[in-house]
Amino acid sequence: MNALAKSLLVFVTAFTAACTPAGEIEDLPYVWDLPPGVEPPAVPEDNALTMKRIALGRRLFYDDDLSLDSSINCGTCHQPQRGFSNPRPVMFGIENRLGFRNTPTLTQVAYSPYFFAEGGSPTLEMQVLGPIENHDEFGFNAAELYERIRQNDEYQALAREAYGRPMDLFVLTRAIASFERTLVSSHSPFDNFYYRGDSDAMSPAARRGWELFISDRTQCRSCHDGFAFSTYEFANVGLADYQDEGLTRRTMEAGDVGKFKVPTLRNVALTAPYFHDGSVRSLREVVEHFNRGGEGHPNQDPRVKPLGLNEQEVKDLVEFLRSLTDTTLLNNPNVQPIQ
Amino acid sequence: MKSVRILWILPALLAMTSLFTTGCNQTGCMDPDAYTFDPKASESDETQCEYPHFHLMINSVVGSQPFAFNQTFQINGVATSFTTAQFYLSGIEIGDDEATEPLGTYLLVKANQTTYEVGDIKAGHKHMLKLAVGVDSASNFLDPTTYAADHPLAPKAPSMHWSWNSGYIFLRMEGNVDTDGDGTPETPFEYHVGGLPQYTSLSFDGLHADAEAAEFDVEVKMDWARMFDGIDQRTSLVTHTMDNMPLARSLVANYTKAITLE
Repeated sequence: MNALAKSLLVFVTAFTAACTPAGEIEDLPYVWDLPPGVEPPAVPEDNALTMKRIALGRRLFYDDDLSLDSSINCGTCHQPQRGFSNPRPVMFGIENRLGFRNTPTLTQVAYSPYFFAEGGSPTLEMQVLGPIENHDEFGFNAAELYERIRQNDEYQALAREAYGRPMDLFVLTRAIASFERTLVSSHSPFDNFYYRGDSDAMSPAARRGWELFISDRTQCRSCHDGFAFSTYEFANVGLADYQDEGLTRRTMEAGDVGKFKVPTLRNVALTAPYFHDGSVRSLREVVEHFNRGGEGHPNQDPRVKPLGLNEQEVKDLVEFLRSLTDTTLLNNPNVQPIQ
Repeated sequence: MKSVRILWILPALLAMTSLFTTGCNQTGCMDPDAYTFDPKASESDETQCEYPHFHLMINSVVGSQPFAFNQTFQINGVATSFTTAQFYLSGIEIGDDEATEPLGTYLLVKANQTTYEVGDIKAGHKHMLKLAVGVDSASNFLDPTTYAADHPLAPKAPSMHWSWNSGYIFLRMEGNVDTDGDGTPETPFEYHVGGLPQYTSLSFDGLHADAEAAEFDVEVKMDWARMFDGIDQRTSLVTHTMDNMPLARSLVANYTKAITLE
């Protein structure tokens, strides 16, 4: 299939899905839209991706009824135009409760081998109940949510169509995970430059930044590697102080204080503020932090060391990071809130 | 004379054969593990096999008083009340000195509930009971949403599962304690214990009971007051295990004192 035909197919699929009630979507297997040579993410056997499952997941993702007082939904924090992240320093919940961590992006979440900043949840499906039961987020209880959603006739019908069973927490978690798996960025200028061979897709500054990014001098890629730009290891980036102990919450090891799962850099220009606590406001400040070599925390990763980048090189790295913004994904009607 | 003798022997042989044949065809339960085991049965009929239904009768008390939610108890001299008191049991085995029978049952024990169906067991003398507080490694990390809503390991209200650090909350105790000395419990306490290192096996070898009928009940006492042994609940108010491991470990150490055979 040539590129034009493929683009048309993607467009028609997107348009059709966006304008059709979920219950009327033909239940076709999901077709990944990935650059050449990129493998699709692993999908659990009990949750094969189909259009109906994704459509149900999208409804649930944006449904306020998943929160205790029906005031917020997943998209309240994970906003498409913010790279499925949020401009507030830390996440927030019902009754304006404040969490203690910056909202992570959901871009490329399908490629993560574990979930939450300490990696404590083994599957995307199991992760779904985390924010729902978190006191500072949805403030709800899963068993009580089950009683609520099973009363919803529309969900009952959609669950039977998508999963062949009544609406329950199994369906809810799998449907939302299905929707989230489709939030894959693959049409950024970088993708068009690197995977599709379009040398004009990235600006000269962004290309210089890419060369710096993969150089031995910066070693950025030793943590931010692959299609998802993350090795998913746990690292301490060398902030001065960690009120939030990070991985230590799980391991109780003092050496893990300040270690968090390495985030993807996909759409990173839109996900400010940065780091686990949202304490750094701009991409430039992030690059300057690494250029300084961190603040010298005892657990600081040894790869975080002074880089000696000059002003132009800092700008080039920032430009490269901006080239990871994928407006095709962010503007895709299939990922927007349902009107 | 000879023909008369033959005439008499033939019916006698026939009668004997008939008796023998009837004896061979006696049907019944031939499984000695069933309480309906028929030692005379010569032909198996599994529909006649019945096994004892094993129930744990877990009587919650606070010292010498019956347990009640929102009632003020004096525990170690401190006015204390409960709003939540529940824990998981798994690893349940029952048997004699030589072997115990693993039952693979998971129970969510609540302080206001006494009877728990464990499952069918082999008939016979029972001397040993094994229990574990917590959810074993085979199930602790599985997805709660894969269970039917009424299964003990399905999501519960209040929650007995952590999502951020996946695994079950083995013990959940919440309520209020009197920290200002006026005799009224007013300060919340919240004890959530989980994590596989806190999975605690208990053995009771003083059972001495025969499971020889349809119902087989074993009575266990859960004294919630003993869970505070060595703990000053006025100052040790919160543990979610990892954020206050010393308190979690103190609670785990108290299982053997709190849970006893009656």
